Amino acid sequence: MADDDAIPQAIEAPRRSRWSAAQAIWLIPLLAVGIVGWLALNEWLSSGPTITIRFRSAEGIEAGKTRVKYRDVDLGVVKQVRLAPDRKGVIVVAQMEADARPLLVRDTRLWIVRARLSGGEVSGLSTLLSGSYIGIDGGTDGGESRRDFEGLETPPVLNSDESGREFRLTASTLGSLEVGSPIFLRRVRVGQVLGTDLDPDGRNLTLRIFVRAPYDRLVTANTRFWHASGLDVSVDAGGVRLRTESLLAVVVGGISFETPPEAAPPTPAASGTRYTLFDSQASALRRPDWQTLEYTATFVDSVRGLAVGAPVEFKGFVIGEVAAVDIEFDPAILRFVFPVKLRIYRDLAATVAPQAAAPAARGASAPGNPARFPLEQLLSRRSVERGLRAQLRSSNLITGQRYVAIDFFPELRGEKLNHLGSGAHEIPTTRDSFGELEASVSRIVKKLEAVPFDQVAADLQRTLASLDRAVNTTEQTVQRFGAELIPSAKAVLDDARRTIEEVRALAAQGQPLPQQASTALRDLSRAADALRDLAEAIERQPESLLRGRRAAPAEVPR
Amino acid sequence: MTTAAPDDAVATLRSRGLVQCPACQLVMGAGAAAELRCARCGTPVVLRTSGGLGTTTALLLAALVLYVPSNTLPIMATRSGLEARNDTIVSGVIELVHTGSWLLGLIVFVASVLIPLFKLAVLSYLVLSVRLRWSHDARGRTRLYRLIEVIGRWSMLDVFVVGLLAALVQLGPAAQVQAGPGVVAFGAVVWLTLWATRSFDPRLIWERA
Repeated sequence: MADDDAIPQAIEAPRRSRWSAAQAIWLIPLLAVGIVGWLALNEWLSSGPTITIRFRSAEGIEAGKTRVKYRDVDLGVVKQVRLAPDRKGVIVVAQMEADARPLLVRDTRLWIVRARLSGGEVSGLSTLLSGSYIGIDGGTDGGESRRDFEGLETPPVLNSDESGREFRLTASTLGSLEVGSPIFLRRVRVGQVLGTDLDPDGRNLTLRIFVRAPYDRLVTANTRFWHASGLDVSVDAGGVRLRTESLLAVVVGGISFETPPEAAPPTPAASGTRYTLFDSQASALRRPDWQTLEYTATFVDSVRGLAVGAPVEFKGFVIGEVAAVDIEFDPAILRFVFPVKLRIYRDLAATVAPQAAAPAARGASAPGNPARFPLEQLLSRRSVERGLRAQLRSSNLITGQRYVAIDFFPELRGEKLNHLGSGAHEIPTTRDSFGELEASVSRIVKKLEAVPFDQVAADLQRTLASLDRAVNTTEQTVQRFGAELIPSAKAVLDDARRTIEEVRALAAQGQPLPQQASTALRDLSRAADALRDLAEAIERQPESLLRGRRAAPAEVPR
Repeated sequence: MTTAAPDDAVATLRSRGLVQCPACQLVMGAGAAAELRCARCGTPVVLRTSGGLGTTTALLLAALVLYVPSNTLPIMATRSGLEARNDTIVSGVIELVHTGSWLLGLIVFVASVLIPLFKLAVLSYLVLSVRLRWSHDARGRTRLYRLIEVIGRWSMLDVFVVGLLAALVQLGPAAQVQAGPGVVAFGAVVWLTLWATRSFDPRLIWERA
């Protein structure tokens, strides 16, 4: 083996470690198995349950693409969309992540998020570009977990974890309210309408509303809710009023609430408390029943213009309002009468002037307070004997609104009436000024009707005819008078002038004046007498010009 | 260098008690020790009897294990203004075919699905055949080995595509491409199969107990 010398011997390399390369290489598959195992475990742990959601339509949902999001965090993806067995909806199968597990409980809500406009807000605009997704709002009760859900058609207004309180309102009409409509407190937006349901009997609506914390504490048992939708134009005995809430409420409607001041410190109402939704602020803020006393005043005259809510005034001071107007037939007087229900505010009371306090304070006040004279005492039998009556009065002649006035009528003093005795709440009435006016006018009309107008007219016509004749005759008389009298009068005047001229001539000659003068004067005097007689005769008997002189007119002594 | 002919029809170094350095090709006497180094360059010389197949088997097993996540995990996350999607290798191929680029889809399918699968299958077959000392068709098996050695490198195509896209398509909110965890697994599979192929000594095919 000579060649063997040329072949070098390989170096013996004793093992330096317990691990050879051949063994170390097995670390690689171990590592791979470890990584894959970890990935698989992770995947298995993070993959949550598969849920099914039933929707009415699968609009915008795509299998493999549509996500299930909670607060905009992906919690799952839609795996499959198929028609429901009854073909009345679709079943969406979604693979959820493990994080979603606590969210999938009994009261979990799922809905399809699309761009929409509701309650004055635009939501889901991003879905216009990215496509719809399924929103999920986890249940809060932590109860039994659930895998099959009924999807909502409209998104819930609130997240389940929003703090606040839910209340129920009974309304007669929905107005322009809808889910998501705002709730205002002094025009601050503090909540939303969650839902509206028609009562089974169809008479009323139940609205579920939500008032956010911390404002929910301001809702007490005494709180009043009213429609703040749009404009509130009211015409009442006080004139025309226009009221609006915020512009948003005008456009989309809303509900306002307010708590009237209370004597006791307010305690927040329990969640789910039921309230009445009033039509307007005025009706909402009317005093509650326990603060009012109910009286009736029965009127016999027309109650036209008297509206429910019209004020009841005592000498111009508002002490109540009209609660209802009725009609009744009273067989005793065979007439229709109108019993008007009045709500008199119990909390109003007159403060008694100090010097009069001692005698008046016996019934009313608590010690320490100034003496009060409650209005209940005003409406008493004693007052009725002093002439207290209710009367309808007109407050606005243009709109014809009327109100109920309570006043003392001195002329009715002393009348014994059985009203307002103990327990009786009937206020005696007197006819209103209109009614009285109407009555007197009708009396006048009756008298006028008794006048024989036909006869009077015939007489009048006859009178007019004879008058006409008389006028004609007079005219002729005057004409004749002008034709006959004036020439003779001229002759007389000519004579007189001649006479004067003669007298003047005489005077100028200086002849035996006195005798001739006296003769002339006598003639003149006679002429003047004759003229006067003529004038008097004509004056006395103008017809003498026509018919000649009557015998001896001068017999009448002067 | 003629020496006494061994019993076998083909003389091997091993039958003559010799080893060859895998690095500098120096032929040396093996001696008695199991652990040897090259007398010239110091490279560890591994005798096939000491388990040359072990490395291949280990790497092959690792590749097989990692093949699962490489196909189930997304290799590419695409996010545009309109949608976000995660693609695995197969869903990417399907998407390509759906959008009409069936030729491109075919290339990706061959490079990323068929070739790795084929390599894994062939390697498994070779390792099994050596382990079980099958003797038939050694020539065909050798040919298969050559084939996977040649085509192996092409299966990195997907990794390159994803790497390029992830680097290039970064348009902020409009569009963004990110590599998914699947691409790491897939790259590891390709690399492991390459290594396993290299570590496989085709001479083992010819060796018989």
